[in-house]
Amino acid sequence: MHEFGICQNIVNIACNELKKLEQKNVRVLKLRVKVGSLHAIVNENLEMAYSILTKDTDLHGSRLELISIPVEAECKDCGYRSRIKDNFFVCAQCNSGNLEIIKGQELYIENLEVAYEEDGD
Amino acid sequence: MKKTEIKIYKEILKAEGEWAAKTRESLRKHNILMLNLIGSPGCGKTALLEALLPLLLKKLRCAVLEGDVETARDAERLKDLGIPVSQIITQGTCHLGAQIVNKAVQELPLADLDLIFVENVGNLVCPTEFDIGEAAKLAVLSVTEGEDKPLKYPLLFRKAGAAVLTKIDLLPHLPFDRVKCLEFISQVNGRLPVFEISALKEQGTLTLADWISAFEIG
Repeated sequence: MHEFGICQNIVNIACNELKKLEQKNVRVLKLRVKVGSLHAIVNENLEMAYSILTKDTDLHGSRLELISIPVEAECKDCGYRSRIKDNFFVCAQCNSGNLEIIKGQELYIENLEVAYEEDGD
Repeated sequence: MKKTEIKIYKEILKAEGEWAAKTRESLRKHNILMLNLIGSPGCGKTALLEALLPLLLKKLRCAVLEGDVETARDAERLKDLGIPVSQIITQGTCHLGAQIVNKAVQELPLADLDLIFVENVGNLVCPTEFDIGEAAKLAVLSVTEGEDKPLKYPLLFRKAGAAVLTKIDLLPHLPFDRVKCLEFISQVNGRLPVFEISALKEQGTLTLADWISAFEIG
């Protein structure tokens, strides 16, 4: 259940960003997080953590959108780039196991979707 | 009401990463190697330390940070070695965080150490996600767990600097397919050195101790 620890970081970062906004009466609708598939994150656990940890924060009532990024690797022997499937980290072209991960280790907040009141609304 | 999208692009584990960097900096200053042992409960992490430390202590000054959800039992097991052993009780948390490890490292006599082992909380998944400032993670897997674990928990075997297969003295009594297990490890990470160990029978421990002694901090 390390998703709770990860989620606490998400909430802290997003709440800090919200404080910087100039708009008034901001309501957060959605928070989008990109998750590289190499992370052992269970989406349902992260979503549950989000619903619990956002209570009493400015993120309350918003939705967590998780976008997963597939794992891609580059072979250090032949240079071939390929997508990794079924945890098979072997070059599809030359069978080497000498691979460098180039995608799939990401874990970041991409954006927040917010609704706010304009002056005079 | 108007709607808008606010771009953020912030690393979620940045704060953890900053603590890990601080720890790494202190360790570099004192030229200390820190290894992070990760494996499931009962895979033999403490037994591995009990077997390795007497060998390593001939050449290196060692300390151990013991991470546990509850109790100081593991730390007590290592007390007789006469080295600094600190217990970090996470009180329910499934992994050691970078900040708590930083605090524990700072409390060690760093000027008098060459090597720190961190025995992480018994768990194959969560501790893998968190950089605590170590030079390398050691993936500890026992032959009583099943040969397919490297495929089920690939992240650990991708991130590790070495894998340690423990309790190999039990192999004659188990259906564990050793060759398959090594194949799976290599399928997940073809560059990973694997050490096959029996802590009880002191098999393979010298080879691993030599590898650790020769480890160059990157």
